[in-house]
Amino acid sequence: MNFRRNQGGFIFSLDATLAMLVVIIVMAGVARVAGPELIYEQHGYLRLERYANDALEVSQIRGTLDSIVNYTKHGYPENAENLAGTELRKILPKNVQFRLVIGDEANPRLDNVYPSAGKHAEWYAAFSNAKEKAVAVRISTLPPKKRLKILIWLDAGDEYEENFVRELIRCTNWENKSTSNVDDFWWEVNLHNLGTKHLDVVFLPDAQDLATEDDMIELVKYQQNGGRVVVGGETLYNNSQTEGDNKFWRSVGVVWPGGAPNSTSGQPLDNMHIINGDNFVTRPYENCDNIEYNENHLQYVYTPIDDEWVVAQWEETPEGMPSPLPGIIVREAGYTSSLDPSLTYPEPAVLFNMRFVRSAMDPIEPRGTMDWITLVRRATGYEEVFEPIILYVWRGPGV
Amino acid sequence: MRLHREQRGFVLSGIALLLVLPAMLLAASFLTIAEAAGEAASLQTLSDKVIYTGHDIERMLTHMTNNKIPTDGPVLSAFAENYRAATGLLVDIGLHPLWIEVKDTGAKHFAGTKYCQIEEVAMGKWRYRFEDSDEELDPSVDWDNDEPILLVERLDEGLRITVEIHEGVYVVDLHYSDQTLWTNVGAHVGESVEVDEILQPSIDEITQLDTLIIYVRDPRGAARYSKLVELE
Repeated sequence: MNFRRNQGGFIFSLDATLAMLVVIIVMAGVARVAGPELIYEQHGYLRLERYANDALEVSQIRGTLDSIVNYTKHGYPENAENLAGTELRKILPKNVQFRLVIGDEANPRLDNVYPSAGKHAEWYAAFSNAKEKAVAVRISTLPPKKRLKILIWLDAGDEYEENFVRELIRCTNWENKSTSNVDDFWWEVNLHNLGTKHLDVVFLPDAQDLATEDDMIELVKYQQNGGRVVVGGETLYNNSQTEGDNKFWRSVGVVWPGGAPNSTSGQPLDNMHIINGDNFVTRPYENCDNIEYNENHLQYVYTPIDDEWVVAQWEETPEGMPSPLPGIIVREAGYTSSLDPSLTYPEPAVLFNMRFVRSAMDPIEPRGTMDWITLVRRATGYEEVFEPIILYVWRGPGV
Repeated sequence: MRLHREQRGFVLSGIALLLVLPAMLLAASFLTIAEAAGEAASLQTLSDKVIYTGHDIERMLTHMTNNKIPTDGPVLSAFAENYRAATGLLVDIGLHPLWIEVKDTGAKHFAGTKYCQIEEVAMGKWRYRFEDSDEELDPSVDWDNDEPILLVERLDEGLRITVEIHEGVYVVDLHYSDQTLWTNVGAHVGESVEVDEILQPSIDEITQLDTLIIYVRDPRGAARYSKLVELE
């Protein structure tokens, strides 16, 4: 092609064309490196992580997470799974899949929460194959994995005791057997003593018609066989006449006065003071903390075998009463009786000198309800542990 | 260099070079932008994780206090360890182990008790106000909490402790864990010392502290969360 003299324009030489090619290749390379895929990878992951954290946060604020944990605590994993699945499906978008685990991953308490029920293996495969997973973690308190087996004596028709025990059970995962039947109660204790050793704790909150003449000796044997007793209210008062009672008194850490203990009530008894906040029973409290008590209900005067075992006491007592008056006595674990060295008790025993059930559940003037529940719960050895709640989310199709 | 007639090649003319140079510059700039964007996204992810963890620790401490779950040293250590294991973040819960020893009465007052008020001035900066009178050893306590007042600042490496005010008449020594920072601290107002930062979940005989500092950060120190929490 010939150009005429008056025709204008650019001539693209070969080297300029090659330079343009280099420019285009470099620009394309950069565009590839910093392209939308990378931006999506970075921000997409950020969004995914926020989905996970926000989902847990929303469940927390709505109280659903607490309900899920409570179902898990009380041994209703199906309810926990259903509630968790429904809640997370509502919160997360449809293209975001999830898996919720409660407890240590190696041995979880709840591990079957996916967007749809009944396809655990398929969902787990989808979770394992997901290229990109985000995770959110919260820590919660959960009951010990080994459920405490507890035998509780309830006086027949005593609403105070029934209500108190109901509250206790609500905030623990005890495997409890509450009974008002004397034969049933002693059957369980004797079974334990015969070698089943199936009871961790015997709890006598305020027993009245529990024992005949020699029954209490069975509770001494029970303690020798690795059992723990938690005793309160009138229990010792109503079992204070025989040699068997004497042995029981000593097994829970107090000296038998040869008959019923003195009792007191009313002013000027003030609230109970914690004097040893390091003991397993009183550990949530500081020394000098007060535990409120309705002074209209009786208290009993006990003499501890060892003064060091008193972890809470009453400092102001009515005239003629010893001061301070021991409130909670914790006989130490592994104690061997000084009077009879053949009697060794591997577990501790806890004695409350007052009718705490009455104070906590008094229909007109309840006092210190939460504190008495806490103290009894801890006296039985119940202690919650920290474990994680883990929510995984990933993008992908449903199963 | 002189080319022979039979040798072939391209000559990069001036205009071609001018086209290539901006392309190179643009390429370098784009790469830097992409790297910065990536860094920003990962930093956001990290700071989200740190903040969510910090808030959750705060929530749990309130839950523990309300439900009478002990908050003593062993429990708080186990609690922090759970968060470390679950999140991979560094988690410390406790207080700086500062305490005063009143030479005249023999009283020892620790941070985290009623004898020391702690105020968070800014993130990573606190004021510790000690009271030298003792309810059991002195006839009366004025609770003016200025014997001494310390400014405690978190540095990149360690902690700076400055004596701001000391208004007491007693001779008071100031200790940090088992290290004596100043004897007769009243004579050292305005002075500073730098120490390694320690957050202890309980201090000596004190089983449960009434105030705690939550400190969460990633191992590189890129994102941090710090908060003073009062346990009722």
